[in-house]
Amino acid sequence: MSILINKNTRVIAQGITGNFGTFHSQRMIEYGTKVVAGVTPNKGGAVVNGVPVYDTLQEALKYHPADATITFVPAPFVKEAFMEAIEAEIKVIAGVIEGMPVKDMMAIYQMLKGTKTVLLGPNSPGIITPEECSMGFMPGHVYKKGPVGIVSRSGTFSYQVADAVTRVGLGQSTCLGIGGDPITGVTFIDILKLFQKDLETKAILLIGEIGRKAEEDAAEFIQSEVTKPVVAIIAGMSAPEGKTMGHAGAIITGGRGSYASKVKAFNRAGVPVAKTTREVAQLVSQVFNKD
Amino acid sequence: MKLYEYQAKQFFSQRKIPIPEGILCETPDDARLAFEKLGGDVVLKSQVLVGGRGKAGGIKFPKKAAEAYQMTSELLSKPLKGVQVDKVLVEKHLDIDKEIYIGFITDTDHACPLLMVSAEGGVEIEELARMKPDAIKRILVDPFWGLPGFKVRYALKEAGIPIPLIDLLIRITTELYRLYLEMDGELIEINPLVITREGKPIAADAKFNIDNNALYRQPSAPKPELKSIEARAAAVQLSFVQLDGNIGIISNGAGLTMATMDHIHLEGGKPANFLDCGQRIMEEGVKDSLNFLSENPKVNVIFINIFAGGPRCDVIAGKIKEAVEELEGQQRMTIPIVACLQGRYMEEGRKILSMVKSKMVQQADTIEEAVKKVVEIGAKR
Repeated sequence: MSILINKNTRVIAQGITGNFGTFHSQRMIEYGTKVVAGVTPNKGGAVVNGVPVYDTLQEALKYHPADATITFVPAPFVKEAFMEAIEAEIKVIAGVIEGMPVKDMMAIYQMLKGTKTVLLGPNSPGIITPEECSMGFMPGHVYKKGPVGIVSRSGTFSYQVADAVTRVGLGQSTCLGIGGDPITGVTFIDILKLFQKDLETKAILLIGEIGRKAEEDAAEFIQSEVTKPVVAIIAGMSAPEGKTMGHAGAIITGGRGSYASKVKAFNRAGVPVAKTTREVAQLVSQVFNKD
Repeated sequence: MKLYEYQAKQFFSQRKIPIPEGILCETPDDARLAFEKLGGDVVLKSQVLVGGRGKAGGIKFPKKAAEAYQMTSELLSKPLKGVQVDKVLVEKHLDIDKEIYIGFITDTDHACPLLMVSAEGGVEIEELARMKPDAIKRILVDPFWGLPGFKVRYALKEAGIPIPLIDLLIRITTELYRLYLEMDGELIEINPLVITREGKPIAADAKFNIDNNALYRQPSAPKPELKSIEARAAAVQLSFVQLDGNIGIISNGAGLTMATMDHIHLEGGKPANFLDCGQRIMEEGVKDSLNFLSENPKVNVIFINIFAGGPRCDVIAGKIKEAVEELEGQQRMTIPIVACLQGRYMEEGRKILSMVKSKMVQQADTIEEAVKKVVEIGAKR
């Protein structure tokens, strides 16, 4: 088992005809992901990477039932792409695009309420269930099937951490990014719930960042609801206050979102926080060596 | 993007939010004329984007035209909190009875706008929130409902705004919200909203930040200035933050770049910057980055830390090689570089880097090894 996606997941790539969409959908197909169709307005009838393209998601779904979409469309059109997927009751949307206006995401956040759609991102690296299905930018070769669930706010940093976990001999159930933007569709808590229920996941690794209060909320939830072992690492220990560190969500203001506050919250919840990639991999491996 | 006070006030004025009579000046002569035109009794306000302007000496009260000239010349000649002042706003002095705070920010936890009102304006809102949290009335705005008048009335009454002012302030608050919404605001603030002795509300100061991601659809927003190194880097899609150490960092991905800083910090080193090349790592990102880093005289060693997920190490290494050899050719390759490449096509990438024709570049297999080297080199030089 795994969470959200597996070898049977059928994916539609929104914005498949752009350079970005073509490049990454090709890599997804090479990994073994079932990309069943693509959508780009006014490009209906085209074929990209052997995949048929439709003008609208509705049409694509008529011929190719699917559970998930990945949105490669440019930032100004992401709101529409998300709306189209939410309206079609798609189960998982990988919102990998950067630069979505916050006002658009405020509207999407409200639209998601009461639906069953899980939206990763925007500004998420995507999601991978190793050796089964990849929707996003993750470098497939660093992941291996196994018992560790990884949830992250970062992209590249999560690949490095996953790589370190694989190197200590542990594979992963599912790895995903919730997104680096100030407002995201899913939170750490939504994903922690899924990992807690998933039989394959035996331990959870959470990769946080300074800014927002997603980590503090997660810590509180872990304390009351998560029985599986959780370890964490938080990027931005040395970041100054008041500066946006690349991700629009990664900013400490008025002491809010600080590294210290997050470490304190995790410690209170009994979650050890590692300082380096190597250390976090060791912490996960200790979880398994105890048994 | 942060707007200057004078720019924000132009938007206020278009929406009939009252602002003080004022003249924007770029020279001491302008200020002298403005003093006379406004009939004396003025305030000079340095136009800068940093907080605490008054305390830092950026606001002056000239008594005579000659003083307006002299003071403006001083304001324009020295940096305020490290920032060069290019413009001074000369405004008519207000006869203050009350100072009120009205603002909207995007509440990212609830994913909707948040209205904040206080009868105790004039101090920074963060400070007020710390000292007297109950003095601020907060109301979340449901994006679908919008901001009906009764909600504003409720907020104003709860905040203790005197009844005779409420209808006037509802209009101003509603206009402020429209501006925030239509212009893709991140934050919009009148602090203080002065109530004069005649009972007239006037926006004495203004803050307005617009979402960078939405600038493409905001043609009336001012063009971003390319003054700071951060802004110039952003113009070429590099995410840069200046810090005060000696170790220059070039990395890809915001999280990884922060983690790289943290690692250096743990080894006892000090990062000179945050620099995330993002997607440009496959293009001329490293070359541009090296140029930005060379502007900082404190940088005495550079750490290139790459983890290639989508991109390929061999392509990235080729780009690094090109950039370094070009600098070498211009005899500008004076700062040692430690590179750590990991991810896709790592072996090929490392091989390419080992062929770089420069003694200044060395490689490390792991981030631990790389950070040790970097901190050591930085301490010695």
